[in-house]
Amino acid sequence: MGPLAAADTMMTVAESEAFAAGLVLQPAMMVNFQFKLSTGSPANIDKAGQAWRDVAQQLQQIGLELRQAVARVSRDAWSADDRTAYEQKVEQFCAQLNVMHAFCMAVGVALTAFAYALFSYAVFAVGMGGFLGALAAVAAAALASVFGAELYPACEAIAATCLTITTAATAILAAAAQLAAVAFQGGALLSAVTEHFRGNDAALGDFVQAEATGSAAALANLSQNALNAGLAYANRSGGIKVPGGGKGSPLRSVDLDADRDKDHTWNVGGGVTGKNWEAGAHVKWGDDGFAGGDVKGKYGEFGGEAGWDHNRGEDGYSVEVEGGKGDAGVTAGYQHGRDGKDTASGGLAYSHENQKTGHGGTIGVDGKYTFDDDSWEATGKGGYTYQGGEAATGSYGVEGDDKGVQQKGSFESWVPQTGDQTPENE
Amino acid sequence: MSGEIRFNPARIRKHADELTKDIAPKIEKARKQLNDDAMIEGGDFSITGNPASMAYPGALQFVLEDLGTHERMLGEYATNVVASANLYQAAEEHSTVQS
Repeated sequence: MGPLAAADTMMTVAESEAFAAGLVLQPAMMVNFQFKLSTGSPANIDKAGQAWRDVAQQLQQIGLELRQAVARVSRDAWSADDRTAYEQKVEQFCAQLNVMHAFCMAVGVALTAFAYALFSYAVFAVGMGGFLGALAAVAAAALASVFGAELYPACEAIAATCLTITTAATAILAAAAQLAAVAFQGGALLSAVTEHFRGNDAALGDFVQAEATGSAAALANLSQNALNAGLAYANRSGGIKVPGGGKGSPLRSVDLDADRDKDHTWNVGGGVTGKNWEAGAHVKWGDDGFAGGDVKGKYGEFGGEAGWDHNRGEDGYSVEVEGGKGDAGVTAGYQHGRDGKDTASGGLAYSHENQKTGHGGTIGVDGKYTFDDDSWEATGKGGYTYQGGEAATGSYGVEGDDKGVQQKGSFESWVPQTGDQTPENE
Repeated sequence: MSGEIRFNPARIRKHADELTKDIAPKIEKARKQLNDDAMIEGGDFSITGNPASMAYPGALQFVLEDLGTHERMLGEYATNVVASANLYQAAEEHSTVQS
């Protein structure tokens, strides 16, 4: 299995951490619930993405071979008006294959981008789980009056904030899913329309047929996910509305645009607007075929974009999602450079102080995955502030590779609030 | 076009063969690969990723339909190309008899 399989381990670690923390801090149980909702199989999705991109290359090759096969019939062997008509048909055919090449490429990239969104979420989740674990340890100690029981409500407030942040991260994952959905459905419609204008009378019919056939499978997926969501909800402890995922937003409008620029590059795009989200996608291809594309979307206060370029047979692509809500900000990203280097990262930052009570907290979670050696690491850092001064800090780290998971440098420091004395832990 | 008509029915038929025996199977191979390797179970997208798992089957089906159409189109091209070759051959035989 490739590196993405590590997501399974990370989500398992994250869920067990959040569950254990939830025994002490109620909001952590809801974080666990969201982790359950957001556990997918990035490795499988990426594998399918690879198949689409592979097929995209084959289609381009088939077009090339068809043109060559026609060219090999010498003018001596066939020279007549019907050959000219036939060659025009073949050209249209190849142009349609080009459209399918671009679409397959777009779906392939969208799948891999979403696989890495799931993966980034896992990186985030394991960091959050670790942070909650450390926080729960502090809270348990507070309840045991080691630090003083009055700190327990502060810990619970911070855990509640962790829940808010996890809800934001889950919403980002849901937005990434919407982006992928636009590439799938919008892309198929765009391809059908474009092929239609390139002489394929059957393309629109194929799209309608596909929607009819595909919707049966879509309904199956919906029922399966609805069932699983119900099970995950039944397994939670406490009550919360399912955030982000679940029902799709009702479609408000669809825009289609297609134009060809001075460099002979077609830029075909579409936009879709939902109740609280909007998304758009463009696919570009020039005289040399597929040239790249981009996908952008907004989901409430969260946004994301993915882009890729295709040059001399090499692809570079990246996906970034980020969002902020009040005092919190979250990022997740993945880049695949044309130099072949891959990086994935996710993180969040939060700081807030209650003006009335003077109690506050800071939270930072960062995770990254290094593809050179298949290792991953995540750190969670948190602080408890009182009237602007740092009263306590805690930090937690977990890392893993193909050999297993280590909890390295796991520690907490909890010092009395004494003005300038601010511990720094890295 | 100069208006001059040249043809070699055997060579033209050979080209039709290439369409059906060489090119079309490659499209079928691409279809099969998608059918085998690009199936994704709904749960793989995660529950949060439900919009993607809803839209995905349509995209996959569209490509399978579209590539099927293109496979059939190659078959039609081959039929028409062979019809042309037959026509030329018949014309040639006519003119041979007459000369």
